Amino acid sequence: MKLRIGIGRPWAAALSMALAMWVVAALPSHAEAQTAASAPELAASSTAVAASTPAPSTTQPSRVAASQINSGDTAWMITATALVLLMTIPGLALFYAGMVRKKNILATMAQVIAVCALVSLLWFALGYSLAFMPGTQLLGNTSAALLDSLYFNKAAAAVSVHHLAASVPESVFVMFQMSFAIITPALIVGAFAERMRFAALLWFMALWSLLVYAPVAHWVWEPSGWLASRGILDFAGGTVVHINAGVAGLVCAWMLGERVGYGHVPLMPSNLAYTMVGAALLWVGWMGFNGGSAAAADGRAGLAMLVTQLAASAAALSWMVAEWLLRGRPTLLGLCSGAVAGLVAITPASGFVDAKSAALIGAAAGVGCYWGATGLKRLLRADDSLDVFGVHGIGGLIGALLTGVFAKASIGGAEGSVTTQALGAFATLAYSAAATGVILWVVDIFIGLRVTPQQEREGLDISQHAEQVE
Amino acid sequence: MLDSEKLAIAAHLHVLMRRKLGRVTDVEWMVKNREYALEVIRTARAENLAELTEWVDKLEATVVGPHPAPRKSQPAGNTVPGAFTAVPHAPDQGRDSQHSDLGFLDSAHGGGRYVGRLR
Repeated sequence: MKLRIGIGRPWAAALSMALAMWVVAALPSHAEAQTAASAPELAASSTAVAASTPAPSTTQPSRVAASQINSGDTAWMITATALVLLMTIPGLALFYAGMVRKKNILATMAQVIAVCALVSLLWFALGYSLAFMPGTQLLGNTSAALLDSLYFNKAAAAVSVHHLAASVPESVFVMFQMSFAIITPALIVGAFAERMRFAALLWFMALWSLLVYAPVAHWVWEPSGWLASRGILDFAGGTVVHINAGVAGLVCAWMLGERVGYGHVPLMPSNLAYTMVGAALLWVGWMGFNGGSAAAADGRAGLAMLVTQLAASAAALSWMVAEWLLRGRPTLLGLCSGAVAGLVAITPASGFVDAKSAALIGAAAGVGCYWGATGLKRLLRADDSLDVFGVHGIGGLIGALLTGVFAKASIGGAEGSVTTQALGAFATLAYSAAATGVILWVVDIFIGLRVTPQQEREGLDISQHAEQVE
Repeated sequence: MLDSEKLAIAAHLHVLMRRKLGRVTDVEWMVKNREYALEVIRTARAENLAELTEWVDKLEATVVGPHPAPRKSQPAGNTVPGAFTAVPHAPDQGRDSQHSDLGFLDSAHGGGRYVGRLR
């Protein structure tokens, strides 16, 4: 019998979670960082004016004169942020909703939009600080909890910037990274689709965002992170977003168990037209995902956008050919899945490789992820409902390793190392799998992960949300 | 009773079972095949929902006739062979009989499509 402590009601869950996060965030910050944050520093640091005014290298957010902000970079980053948010709502919501049965469409969409809202507030409360403040090699500090590092004073013409994007206001950097923090756990929704309790989902996503996403983002992207300091190349999140979410999805699928009827009766997708519209929104939004990761409106951003398009196209076609040869029919779902696989695989490489390499990465990802969603899925014996591991996990691994092969110093300023890439990929894989398992175990004890078989048969739309599609 | 009236009753039950139980039935086959209709009735009665019972009674009176359907659920594996999956021309023989009454099969989709895999 499961232990229940009366927090299974969604409103109570949300309230307790928000309260807990607020208390944690309000704790005294790391002393050193607090000092730095409370000492306004109008440093003339902007990468955009680096040619004329050498920017001091900072390792934490600092305050600069508003005139040092590059309006071109800022305009592009704001646009890119909106594009990435569009990937989740409505892109991912539609992509997944089309693949579940009709009785679970609304629940799937509700899960995605709830994750978006929940992670946004957690990012504000603590996530951003844990991921992007300098701290230890494993985790940032709490100096930017509740976005305490953020500063904007119109009268004084001063604004804070983050050291990873010194030509745009820190608010834009926070929001851009928030859109990544949102989509990563939202991707996992596809692995346990059609059977998880909504309250359990909220708790799982909140804990996963803070305990898995934020640390891994810190390892890979924050200069003090242990993988960043070893030279791992992950331009837009192949490891942080896709391997991380893919492996977590696989663990979720294992721990929640199969859906009723899985492997014995057809579990019909409700409407693959939704999936195609969702895939198209993902594809378009990915231009911001990869292009925005240059943190500037420059040649590297342009190249990132170009290689993104080429890889997606190559993967859509290679998946289509593989499916046509092996199954006798090229399906719409295959084309959509192939495109997403290519987008996933080019994500870590997009600021480091040229166009030819991008086409090769895409072609490899299309075939590799097709195997991941079919042959490997059978071997793993997990009901990963919408193939989160097959597409994001395998695509992320292919992309991470091939970035080590194809990265050019002339593009990204660094040669790739397959060994370092493999270290980062498998360390993320191991940590994400272990931490996800522990979080699920805890949530199962206190909340209970699965709906009852009867609720599952009725569908989550009715049983969890009292709504349905007629 | 006219065939169209029997079909209307079967269709009504089909809609209710889809909404309430998430199960898909074959309306035409329910009217034509007594064994299939009996199995539908047995499964619907097992849920003990008043709304369903009303239409199950009607189906029983019109399609099944004087021989009533069993009122208690039978153990798995003792179901009528092909019930819920005995859609004409649906190549579903390979399925596990233990799960053959789960009823998600759409007559338009045969073979192993979407069985244990999405892609």
